[in-house]
Amino acid sequence: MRCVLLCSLLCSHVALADDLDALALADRSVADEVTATAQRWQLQWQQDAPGPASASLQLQAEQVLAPAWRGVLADRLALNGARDNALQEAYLGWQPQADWALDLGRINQRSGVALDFNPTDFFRDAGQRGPLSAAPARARGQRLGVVMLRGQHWWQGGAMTLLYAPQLGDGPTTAPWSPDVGRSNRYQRWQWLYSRQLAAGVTPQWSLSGQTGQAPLAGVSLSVLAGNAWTLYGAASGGRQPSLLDQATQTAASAWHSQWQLGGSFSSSRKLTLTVEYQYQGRAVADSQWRTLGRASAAYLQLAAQQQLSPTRRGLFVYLNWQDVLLPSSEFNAMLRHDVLDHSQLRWLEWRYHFRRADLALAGQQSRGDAGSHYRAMMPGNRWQWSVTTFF
Amino acid sequence: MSESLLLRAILCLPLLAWLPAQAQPQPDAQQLLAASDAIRNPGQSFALDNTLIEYRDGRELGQTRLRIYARADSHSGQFRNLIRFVAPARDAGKLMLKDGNELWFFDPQSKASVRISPQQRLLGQAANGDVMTVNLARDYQATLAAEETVQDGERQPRRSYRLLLQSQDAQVLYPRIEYWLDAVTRQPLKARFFSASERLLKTAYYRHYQLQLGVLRPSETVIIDGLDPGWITVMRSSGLAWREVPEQWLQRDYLPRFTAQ
Repeated sequence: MRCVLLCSLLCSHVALADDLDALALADRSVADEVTATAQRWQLQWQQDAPGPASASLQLQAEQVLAPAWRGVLADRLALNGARDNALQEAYLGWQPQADWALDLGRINQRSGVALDFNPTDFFRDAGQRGPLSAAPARARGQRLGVVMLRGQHWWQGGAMTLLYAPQLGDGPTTAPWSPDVGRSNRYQRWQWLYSRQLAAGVTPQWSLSGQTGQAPLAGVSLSVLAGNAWTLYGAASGGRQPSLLDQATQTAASAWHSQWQLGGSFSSSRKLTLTVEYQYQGRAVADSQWRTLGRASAAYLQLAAQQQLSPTRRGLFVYLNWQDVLLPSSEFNAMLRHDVLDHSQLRWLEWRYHFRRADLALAGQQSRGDAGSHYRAMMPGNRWQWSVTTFF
Repeated sequence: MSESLLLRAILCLPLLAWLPAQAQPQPDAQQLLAASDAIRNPGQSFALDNTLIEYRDGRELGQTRLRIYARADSHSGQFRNLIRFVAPARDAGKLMLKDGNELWFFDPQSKASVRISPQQRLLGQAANGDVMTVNLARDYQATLAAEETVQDGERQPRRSYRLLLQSQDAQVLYPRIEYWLDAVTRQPLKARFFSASERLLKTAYYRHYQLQLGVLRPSETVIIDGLDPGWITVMRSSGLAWREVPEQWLQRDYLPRFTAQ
């Protein structure tokens, strides 16, 4: 009993000493002078192995131009070789009242709640210029926006979006300074999005999307909180569409196809977040056809890549983020894409250290599977990359 | 006989001195907590800047600047927050929406609005940044544990009430809080936050009181991690001002649209 009392007294004295040290440290702390800026710049240098070194400059800017008017610009300039420029976003927004707004220009419109494959993300195939990052969040930031007119209306517990994107070209161009609207606006498209709160913490989003020559595609997505550490989510879309193989072989046939995903994310108190997603892509060839038709058809694989769709029906996606894993201010990221049908895999690891104004990252990527399997065909062999990114 | 009575009267004198003190009514713990909340938070929608300076073992790791927009919910009385990252440049423009346990994170680069769990929110500095805007009296049942002298954030002894706060909601991150407030002014002085397993998660000192929006409010909070006492966050508030926060800002679908105001 005496020992317990002694320990308790000792612990409280140690805690108090810690507190006094902390307060003394706080007395000496000096806050940096910070001014909010409307522009964010990133300068990145990276070395691939195998592959060349490359550098790029990224700008993101939002500016209030006048009361109710704002301009948004996102641009990425590759600084080596052909000086390839990607105009990712450039639009003008008008919001005369708090509850509605109109936007006109190139907009990166994104829907869905998943980290990887989002069945309701209708503009996922807008394309990108330059190499695509393996990290899903960074890859989405690299895609081109679509030229559109977008109207949005918000009310308590709900929102509605209606947009129209005209056809402005027939295909991509590699001209270095071209806005490349032929890549992003290959088809005339429209989309309607509607969110409504059904209960506390339950706000599904419904969507209806269409493009010239195709029946409308209906979709829904929802995410919920499950306890303190879990989020669960799912999304589905479906409609009468040509299968990827029919489209690749230009066969005029369409049938009901669905796409869906289910996922969950768990965070631990040790700064670890694990995300697992199961994906179903109904426009891909049937499992029995994959080995005989799908993987043998270059046109089929190319179309799947261009539409950012898996060429097989079922896949698993696992993503791990672990902060301060080796050192404070560092993070470890790992990703696994697993094809449930042919068991090929894409593995990616990254260790990143955050300096005050820069990130240093080392990443490795590896594909596993039979020759001609999904991920071996996509990226044969291993690849390493290290990069320095400065933010200003 | 009279000597015996006199002796009894003398023996009872200390009791007479004790009686008036007992006659004073005990302050209501819930009212004390509500009064303390009103010092930390204005009674209507507001905005403020928070600068968080993070230390590990005495070495400064970095600084985070947040702009917080808080709107009082007409039903719950709790604040709903939209938090915008101003610095460091790596995170500038990111947004976090907090409506009770409903949390969304928006990254302007990927355009992704992702729901996050309360546990995941704790991984970032925004969790410290918006802890100031929580109305504890709405979420916790308070009991008065003691009236005692405690060392405040200025390292001065202060006569205080120690409250024990117990949450009614099993989902909250801090089911139990020990909370010290000044016995006269009701100013919050110190808090200790515990997990469901009774583990000390963090200790906070509220200090450097300044006149803001007509009330003396703490302009700095020193937060000490419960597991690693060498992990210290100094949180400085500035620019507190009344601010109309439209309902539209506080929903997921508005996040891609939000422009710094």
